[in-house]
Amino acid sequence: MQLSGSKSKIRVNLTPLIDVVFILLIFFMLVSSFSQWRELPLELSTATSVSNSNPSISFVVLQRTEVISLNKQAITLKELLEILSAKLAVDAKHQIMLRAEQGVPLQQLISVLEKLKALAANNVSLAKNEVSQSNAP
Amino acid sequence: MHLKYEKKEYHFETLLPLVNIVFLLLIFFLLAGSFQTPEPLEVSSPQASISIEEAREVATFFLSADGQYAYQDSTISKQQLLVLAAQLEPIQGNKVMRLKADAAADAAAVIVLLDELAQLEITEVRIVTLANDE
Repeated sequence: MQLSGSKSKIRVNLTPLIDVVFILLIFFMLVSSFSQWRELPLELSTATSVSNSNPSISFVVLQRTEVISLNKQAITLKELLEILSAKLAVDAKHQIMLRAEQGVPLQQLISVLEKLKALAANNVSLAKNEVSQSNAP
Repeated sequence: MHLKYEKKEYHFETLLPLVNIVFLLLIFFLLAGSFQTPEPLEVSSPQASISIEEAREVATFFLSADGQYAYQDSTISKQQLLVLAAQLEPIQGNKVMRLKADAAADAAAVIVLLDELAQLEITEVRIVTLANDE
């Protein structure tokens, strides 16, 4: 059976739709952020004083020149991690006091902190100054 | 002068691959992106690989590389920050705040701030970091 019908050509103009899609695309490209934000939690406790001559505590100082000192001896980060790893193997609760000199960028402190966390060092304190007041993260 | 004008027939079909790609790009940005919220200070966070996902309800304070502090939409002094921090409502019994500090901010100043916050009975400060997959 053949149905007779007139073939009418309806042309839909898609240009406005494409314009809108382009505008939407540009909008989402500009406002989108692909940064993965995370948080490094630091537990605070009230300051306690410790003597910086205490042999059972490792005093780590981050200096402006990217030099790290452990108990007043300049060492590299790799050496620091090796020494602390050995101390933590003996005593898992070995206390580490971490101090940053003025002018040390926060990135350096965070990098050392996360490397210490990776060593499973749970007793890390941030020291405020050389006189040795601290708060423990 | 008579210019010869040739009327070319317009074929929409040739534009279809372009439209397809644009649609795919649009869907990608819709699904993969998240909206950036305007911040009171320009801060580029330090990178870290060990960190946790951020929780929304925690109050966020900002610290720029040049030592300026901000909260919500306005810059504040350190004293104002301490006053605001002291007034924070505890979340599940803990006074928690978030610090979005610039990677170039003075680490010694951050440690001093943490000490002062500890004295205000803030139990936890979350330093905002940028995920580092290295």
